[in-house]
Amino acid sequence: MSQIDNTQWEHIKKRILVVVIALSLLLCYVFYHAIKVFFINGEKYHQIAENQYKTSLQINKKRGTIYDSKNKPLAISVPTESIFVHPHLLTEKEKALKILSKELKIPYDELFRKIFSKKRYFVYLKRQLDKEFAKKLLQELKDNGVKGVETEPEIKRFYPNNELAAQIIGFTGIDAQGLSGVEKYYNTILQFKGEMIEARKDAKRNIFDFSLDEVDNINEQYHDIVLTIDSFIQYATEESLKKGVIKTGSKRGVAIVMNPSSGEILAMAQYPTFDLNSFKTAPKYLWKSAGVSMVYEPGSTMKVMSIAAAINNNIVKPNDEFDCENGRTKLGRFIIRDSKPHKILTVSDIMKVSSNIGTLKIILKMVRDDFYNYIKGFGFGKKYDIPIPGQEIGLVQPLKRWKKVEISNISFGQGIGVTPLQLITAFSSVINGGKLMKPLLVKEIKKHDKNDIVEKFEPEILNTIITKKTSETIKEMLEKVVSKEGTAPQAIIPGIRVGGKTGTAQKVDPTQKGYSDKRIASFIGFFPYEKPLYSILVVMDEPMTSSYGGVVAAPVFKEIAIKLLKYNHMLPKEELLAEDEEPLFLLDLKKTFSIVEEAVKSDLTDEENIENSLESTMPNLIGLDLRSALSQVDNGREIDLVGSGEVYKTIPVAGEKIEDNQKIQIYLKNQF
Amino acid sequence: MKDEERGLLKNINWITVVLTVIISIAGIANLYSLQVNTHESAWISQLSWFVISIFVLFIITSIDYRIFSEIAMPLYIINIILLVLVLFFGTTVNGSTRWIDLGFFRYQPSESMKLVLALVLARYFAMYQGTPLGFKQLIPPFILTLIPAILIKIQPDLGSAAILFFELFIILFMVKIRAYVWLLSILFVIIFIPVMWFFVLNEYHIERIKAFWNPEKYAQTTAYQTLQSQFAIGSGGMNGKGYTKGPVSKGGFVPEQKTDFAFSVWAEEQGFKGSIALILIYFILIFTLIHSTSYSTDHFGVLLSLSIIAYIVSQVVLNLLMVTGLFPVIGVPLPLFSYGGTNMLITMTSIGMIMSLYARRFFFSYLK
Repeated sequence: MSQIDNTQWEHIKKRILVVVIALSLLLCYVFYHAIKVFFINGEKYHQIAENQYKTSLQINKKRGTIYDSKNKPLAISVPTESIFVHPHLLTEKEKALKILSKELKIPYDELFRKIFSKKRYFVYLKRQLDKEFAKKLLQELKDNGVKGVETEPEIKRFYPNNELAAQIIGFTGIDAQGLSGVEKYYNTILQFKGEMIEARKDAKRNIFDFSLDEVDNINEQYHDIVLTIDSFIQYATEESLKKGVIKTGSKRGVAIVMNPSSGEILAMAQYPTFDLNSFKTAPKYLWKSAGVSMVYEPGSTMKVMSIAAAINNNIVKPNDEFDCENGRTKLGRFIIRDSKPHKILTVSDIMKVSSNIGTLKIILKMVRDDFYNYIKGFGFGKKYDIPIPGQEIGLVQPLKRWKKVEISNISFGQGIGVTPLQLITAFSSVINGGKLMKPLLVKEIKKHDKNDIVEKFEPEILNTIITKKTSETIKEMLEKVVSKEGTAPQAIIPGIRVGGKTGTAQKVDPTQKGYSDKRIASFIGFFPYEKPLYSILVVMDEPMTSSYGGVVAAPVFKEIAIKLLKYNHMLPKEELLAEDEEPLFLLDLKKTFSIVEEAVKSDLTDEENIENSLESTMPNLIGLDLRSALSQVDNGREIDLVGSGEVYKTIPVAGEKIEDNQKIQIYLKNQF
Repeated sequence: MKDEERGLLKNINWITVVLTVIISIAGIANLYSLQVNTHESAWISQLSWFVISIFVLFIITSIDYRIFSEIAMPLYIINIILLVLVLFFGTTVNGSTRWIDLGFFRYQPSESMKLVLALVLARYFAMYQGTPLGFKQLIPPFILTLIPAILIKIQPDLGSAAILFFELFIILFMVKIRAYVWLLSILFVIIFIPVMWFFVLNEYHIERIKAFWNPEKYAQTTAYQTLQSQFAIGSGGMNGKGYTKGPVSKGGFVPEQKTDFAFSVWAEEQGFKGSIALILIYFILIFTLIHSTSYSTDHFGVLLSLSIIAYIVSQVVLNLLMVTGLFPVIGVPLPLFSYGGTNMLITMTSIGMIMSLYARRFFFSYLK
């Protein structure tokens, strides 16, 4: 080995010194740069980095209940658990997969692929599972030493009455956000968005880090909504409408029940409809509420408003006479016809037989602007502040286009587009003493599960249009419509004074200019005469059997009315028996089923059940939902409903004889 | 012989051992922090290599380092053969073919080449015993460096190839060389730069150099790695995000964070304090090694020791400059800290040789 002598060492030492100095300078530079990266650029870099990884997760969502006016839940939130797995933390993989595959009913291979095919930090296995089930499953996994499977609370919206008031209530998406109806309109009020928890995502944008422990429930603030809808009335209306639509072979039907003195909407039905719990399978056009979005020409039902305007304006008196020219008159180059020829008619008769010629002659005596103001005053061509999305404004031509022909047409309901809601609101104002009430759908908004009312919606007079006296005059006329001589004998209810007006309008053919041979038949009525509690509008779109409102819509009105009278214990019993109402109604139903062959089996059993229920023994309702249960006991009895969901108990019990005046009690509970 | 053995344990430079262990343990802890989310078991493998390496370190320390002078040439030839084999049978990761798969572990011959070259060069220059060298004498060491450098460059691994030349440069700096040779060398380097640009550098090297000068423009592509690394380091702040809590590293934003960019994970979680501490430990280790060298009594020892230090230092410095965006990205690991068995083993072996030299300082001192 070659040893180093001192001179050589001196040389190397010098060089080492150079290296050490160089290194020290480098060290200084690294320090300087470290300070720069950490402190001078640190905040900037930190911000950029944070933007890359920071994200948030929303958990612990809540949603308030929607109640009907009698505090029966229409939409409730069911707590569920969503189960997910952290693939990289999963232990006892084989055991875990076996248990999960068995319990969640997902094939093993599919589950394996789901969890391990991609590199993810968490994978949802199944969402919205029953809480108890999820709890048990987690325990089972835990007992087998499995780690890395967790659950997250989620809510699932459940509609205990399925299709009841489907378009009004609306529905929510998978993340419990309102998508239609009241659910959408009041989304922000109903929902508690949940806590935003900070989460982190990785370079592949997968969330990899969040903690459920930080969540507290202190700031939960969400509301329940109480609607003016009465489940019973809504149900009765829907059922009667459905029968009417099927019987008349109509394309669809719309019916609204309103309290004329308060403007409260008690029912708003349409058929065909859909089940809220499976809204996805229903065609989208059914999701829309026809009551506020269907624009149609009201036809003769409009004469109520026209003649009310003329009388209120002192243009005519009820007994003034008009020549109806044998049902045919010329107006410029147009010919106006009545359905039946009449000669001289009083104003009252014009209403009774629904003469177009008579009506236009009355209205043409009015100052144009006055008539226009009345029409606008009745709320046509305006939107109401009502919490159903998709409301239409209707069609009222601007005043400058109101020439003689247009005014005549409008007077008997052609050349003007209205929604069912506009029509029933206007009609209610005519028969309630002249006050246009704001249509109400929501009674109150209160804090969830507390009786702490946040907002109460009181009846509101929007406009006073006609005098009480005029109102009484029109009511008299309308009562005559519902008579053997009038156009609506089928709406007669023995023992109860009923008023109303029929209507038939031609539909505009969208492909051609002018009217098609399709019709919209309607009936609008009220009762009891003395102090109207209900006004009811029934609209039948394109009926096949007849095009007259008195034939197509009036019977539906009558059926609803009878149910409402029973509901309020207002139906004189002897009258009912004398007229033998109920069996007739059933006969119609049987006919309906022979027409509609595709009627589903469950409906057929319903029919049998209804017959059984007539024999006054208690049918077995256990396990049925409210709708099917009511359809079996709905024959004029007082019914007490307790709870919501499935029937689990009835008084009297099934098979027992029901006494004539006995009250039936139905207890329901949720299957969740 | 017995006296020598007895004195050995007493004469071991324990400071070197402690610093080496600290860095290695920090590296393993760093890898463990990553597994919290990725669930990768890299840290276990690194821990086993640490145990093996520390054992090797003491064995090497106990061996008389002069023996390596004797086996330098055979080791060199074996390593060259391995480098050739890599080109044909190597395992490819991220487009580079650097590893020979031995089943239980992947051996990286370019790592061992750094040490073997130091041995060969030290042996060669020690033959001249301090006499000033002319141009002719520099040709063999240049060729000895060039052959493995080319083989490594083909893999491609420009960083390791450059480190081999850096070793040569340091050793030339230490031995006596005639002035005209220096001038010629400098001239050669100046001529070599454009040649390098066109023939040595690949397209992606040039891309990286461009990205280095203009990182914002290449933020989503070539400069992504360095920028992400800087974001991670910068978000560490004074105290860091806390162990296992760094969101940038846990989110896997920095590519190669187990290996070349391991320091970014450390910096994010340990902050300025932890980073400066780690850098200081590295420099203390390096100064300790330099100090040990000064006890050397023979040419081979000094030159071996210095070229070992040269490649350790160059790796540390290049890596730190690279992860902080001060140097274009060339694949250089942080010795002892980055994930990689071969690097750990070779670095410990190298340190063991310097310790062997230091432990024998009194044994030869009377000759001085």
